[in-house]
Amino acid sequence: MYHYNDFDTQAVRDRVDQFRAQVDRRISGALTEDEFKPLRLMNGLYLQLHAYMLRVAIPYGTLNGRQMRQLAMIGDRWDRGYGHFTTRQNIQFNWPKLKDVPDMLDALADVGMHAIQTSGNTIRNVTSDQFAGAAADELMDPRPVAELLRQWSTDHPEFQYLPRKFKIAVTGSPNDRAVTKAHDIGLRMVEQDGATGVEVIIGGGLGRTPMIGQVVRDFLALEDLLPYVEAIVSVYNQLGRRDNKYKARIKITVHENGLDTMRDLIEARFAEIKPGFTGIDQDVLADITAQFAAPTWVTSDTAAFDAAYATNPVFRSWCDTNLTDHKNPDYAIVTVSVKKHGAVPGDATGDQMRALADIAEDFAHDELRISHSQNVVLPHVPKAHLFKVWQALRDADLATANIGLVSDIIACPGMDYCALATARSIPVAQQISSRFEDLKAEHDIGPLQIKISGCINACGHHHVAHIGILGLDRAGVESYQITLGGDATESAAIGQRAGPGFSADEIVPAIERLVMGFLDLKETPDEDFLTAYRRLGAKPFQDLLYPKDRTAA
Amino acid sequence: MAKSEHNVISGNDLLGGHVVYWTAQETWSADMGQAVVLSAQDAANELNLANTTQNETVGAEINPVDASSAIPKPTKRRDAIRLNGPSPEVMVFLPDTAPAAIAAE
Ligand code: HEM
Ligand code: SF4
Repeated sequence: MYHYNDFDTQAVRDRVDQFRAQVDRRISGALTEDEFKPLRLMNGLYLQLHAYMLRVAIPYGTLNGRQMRQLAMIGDRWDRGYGHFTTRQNIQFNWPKLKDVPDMLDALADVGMHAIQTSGNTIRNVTSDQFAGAAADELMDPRPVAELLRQWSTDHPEFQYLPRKFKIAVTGSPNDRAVTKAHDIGLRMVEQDGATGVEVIIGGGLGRTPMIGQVVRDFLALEDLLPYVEAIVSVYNQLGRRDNKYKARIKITVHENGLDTMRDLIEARFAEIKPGFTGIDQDVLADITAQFAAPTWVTSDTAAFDAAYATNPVFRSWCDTNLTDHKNPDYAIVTVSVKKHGAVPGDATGDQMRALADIAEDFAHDELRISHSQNVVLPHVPKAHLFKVWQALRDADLATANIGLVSDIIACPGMDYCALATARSIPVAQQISSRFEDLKAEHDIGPLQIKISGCINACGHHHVAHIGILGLDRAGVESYQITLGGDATESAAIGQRAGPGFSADEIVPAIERLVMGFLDLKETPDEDFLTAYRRLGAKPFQDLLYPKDRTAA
Repeated sequence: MAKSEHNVISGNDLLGGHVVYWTAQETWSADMGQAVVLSAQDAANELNLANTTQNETVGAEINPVDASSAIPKPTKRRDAIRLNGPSPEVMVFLPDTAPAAIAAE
């Protein structure tokens, strides 16, 4: 796994010292709030509705047991004993005190972590496939490229004041688990004539104007990646609109200038800067790649696993739902649900984080991942260990068997925390998840993604949900708008609005009518919601949401 | 923005981040019971004064309230959540987020 080099370590420490001095000056009154605010945001510190919030970067969602244990310690010591995993593969602490934040950052630096570029109009934490380096369907581990981009973009002098925030996602598999088409730049490893290269997608984004990214280059040699990405950001830096915050993202730049113009400009800029890339980046990439070498695989007897699978129905159900094929057939990828029925999606207590750290160290090559669906992944678990892993997870209240099902809901913090929210999202997620647990129907329903955002900014990815829920404010009252048919994968699509919104009291029954009604629309028991929606169109689903005998709100 | 007849001024404590309310003594208190209820016009004036205390409290703003009981009640959900804590915490961590507990800090 990747370790910071000395330069990185010193840079992170320097930033903490610098911020500590800034906090001191703010507390003493030497800095005004207006002066301090941009400084704290540069260090991932927000002020939310009723507390500060510290957003910690987890580059491409990868961490080890020691880092997870440190996050637990930070949550216990300086927060309220928990942390919140987000769709950006980050963790947020919801209750830090200002004077403690430098100590929290120091504690993060002790394990090679930080909160830099988690805010502001910079290139943000590069996200990736949570199964990177493990998935059976993977062409190439995307994390070395993600790390190269992280090193290149961190404190890049040209790109600290972009027109707007800039998000890059990388996937190494044809099955896109990194939502690359909803990012400013999406990179997908592809094969052409036996060589592995990158498909480059630009202009995707969610928020107020959702757009699916478009392919600007269908094959790029790996060695051209950095100059090409730099060319994209550079063209955007010049053309991107700084006059209007809502039109400043690259998706609008692409939309207004057209893909072809963008491509011409990018290619021209690329030709210009390419000679400046003398191959040092390739040496760096080779170095990084070596550090991402797979663990030394062990072969072990799977008899215990096979026996437990055959005889223990609860374990079997968990295996069937929460495991994904590993590229090594003796291994499995475990997705740990941080979505216990009725709980807050993505919230893990200090004890749970420590349990996860222990499990990773004891049974799973000391690796953990955070997924964009706010769950934790153990990417390399020998099958022989699965039963013990499951038992340990059960002891930590982390063995819910619901990955990819109706209760595996993504929800942004919404009005319970976020200063920008127009409605709550967490309680809606909690109620939907509890309701379907009561109905005991989620395994019959099959794969279904519900995603909830508490305002138009779409942090909860509702646009790319099979069922998206957007919380709005209608004259002081929460109103929830439903979208249908969104897709976050390689066949990405923006969901379509189903009809009028629902009140806070109506939204959970409406979702229940929709999902339970869908059971009767299935062509075969295996048909999933999105497939049925694509086969049938919106009408039968709208009829479920808005039955004739009911007057819509 | 519709002008409410009854308002309080709220902000976030600089050091702790928690919500505080402007009092009749022109200081800040974490106890809504201490909040001074102001007309729209008075609130606008007091907000200027409140904003001079930014080394203590940040993000001062005017929130409409229902002043019919002894302790003012926020009329907007957002402000009620700021007063009482996030919905899941209200269920899980009630004693800690109750305004009285914060006041005692
Ligand atoms: C204090 C809390 C937060 C604030 C103030 C905030 C602010 C914003 C804003 C203003 C946007 C729209 C940006 C634009 O379109 O230009 C946005 C988008 C987004 N945020 Fe947040 N956010 C917060 C929390 C979160 C959390 C907790 C997550 C992850 C769960 C998250 C992930 C995202 C994502 C994925 C998008 C949309 C994708 C995109 O268009 O880039 N944010 N956020
Ligand atoms: S979608 Fe809106 S409410 Fe939710 S976290 Fe983002 S900014 Fe806040």
